[in-house]
Amino acid sequence: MSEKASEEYEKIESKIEKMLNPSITLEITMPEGVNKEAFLKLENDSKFIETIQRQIKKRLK
Amino acid sequence: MDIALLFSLIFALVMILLVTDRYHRSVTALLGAFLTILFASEYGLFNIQGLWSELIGFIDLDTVLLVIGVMILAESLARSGLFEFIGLSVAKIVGGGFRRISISFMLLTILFSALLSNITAIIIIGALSVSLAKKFRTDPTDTLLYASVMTNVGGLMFMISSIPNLIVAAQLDFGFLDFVLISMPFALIISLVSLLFIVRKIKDNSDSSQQIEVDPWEVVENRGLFYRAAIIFLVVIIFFIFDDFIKLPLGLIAIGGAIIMLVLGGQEPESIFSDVDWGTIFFLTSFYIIVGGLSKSGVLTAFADDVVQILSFNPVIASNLNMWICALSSSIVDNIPMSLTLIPVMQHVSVVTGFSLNILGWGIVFGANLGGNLTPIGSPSNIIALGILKKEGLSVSWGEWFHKCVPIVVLQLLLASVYVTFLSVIL
Repeated sequence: MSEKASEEYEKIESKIEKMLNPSITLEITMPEGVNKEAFLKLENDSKFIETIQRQIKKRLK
Repeated sequence: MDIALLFSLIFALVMILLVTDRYHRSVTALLGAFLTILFASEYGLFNIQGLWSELIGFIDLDTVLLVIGVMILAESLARSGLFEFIGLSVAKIVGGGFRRISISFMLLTILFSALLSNITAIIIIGALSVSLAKKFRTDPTDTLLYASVMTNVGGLMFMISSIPNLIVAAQLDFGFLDFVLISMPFALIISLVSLLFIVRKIKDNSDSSQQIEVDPWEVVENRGLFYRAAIIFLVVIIFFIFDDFIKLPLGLIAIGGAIIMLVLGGQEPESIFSDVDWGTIFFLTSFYIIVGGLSKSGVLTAFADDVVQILSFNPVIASNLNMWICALSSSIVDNIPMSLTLIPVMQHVSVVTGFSLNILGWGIVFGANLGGNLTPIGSPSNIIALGILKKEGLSVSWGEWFHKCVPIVVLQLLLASVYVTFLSVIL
């Protein structure tokens, strides 16, 4: 697949993907006094993400 | 060196480079055109004093303008979000699992590729299918494979649906209505037959509890632009339909529509120009020069005489052979050079044998459009469908392609044979 076709596909796919499965990306700076390795692991921690989702629900209600 | 042999070698070199995909196809064609000009000038076939006007004489400007105009119009329409809007609306209405959506997407693929380039159509359908497959937690492979086959069926619908159609229309004087009356009914028949085949093949293993809760209008960024693009496109189609009465060159209608779209469409012209497939335009114009060299050196006439020897005994067999030759060659080489080369050959065959050029022309249209699906590399939409799947971590082997797609394509080509035979009898 040519680079141009690939870019075009990615553009449309991400637009549709955002509509079907809306998501946001937050940049959270590491707070002081926490372990760096443990902090970085949170990005893929499903329990942590669920906690954030609950917080969002609470905030947006 | 014999001139005919020299130009045959240039043509063979171009074909080998195209098959092996050594360079971008436009670069290959430019190289072939350059060699043609060089040797034709050296051997006195082209007049070096009036070289540029001679070269322009080889290029069918109406076809080139028609292709550029249709590309600008289709690109503007695609950017309006109309097709994503239709896709999401259909998915929302159909709902009830990914299988039902996949089947409805086959119909959408035919519609999209009838109005857009096959490449744009498969990119939009691919993006919709992949995103929805993720939502339904299933595999989009079969949907994309069958959709890529259906793009070439949609390519048969209208005169503007594929580049071989535009070439045949401009060079053999086929109008928009000719395609509606002859090619579209056949496209509808094979759509139905292919769909019956595909429905049995697509399995349902998706999470049908998922609901599509989106407003399809969200995909349209600017409703004013959306309506303007759709209306201008529709008006151009109406002009194409009535071209038999208004008698304007097709290229003029297309480029006129494109200019109006650029003026009134409200989209950034630079951005539209950058997305027009200029590689195809270079490829097309360069190939006209290569064919011009073949014609001037006598290669085309000699080849056409040989073809006459083979085809002269029966018009029905001639039409069928022409279609199959075009289909098989389009499965390994781009269908644009095949159409450009076969048209003058068939014009010669028609003059010598008295066979209907119309039937031979329709054979080129059916063969060039459908033949590309015989291999994964035969059509750009196949290459893109496989590229999208690869991007999503799903690779498809040639074996899987042959197993899943070729039976449908062979069926389509057999039906095309029956249809060409039918046309030979009634036209």
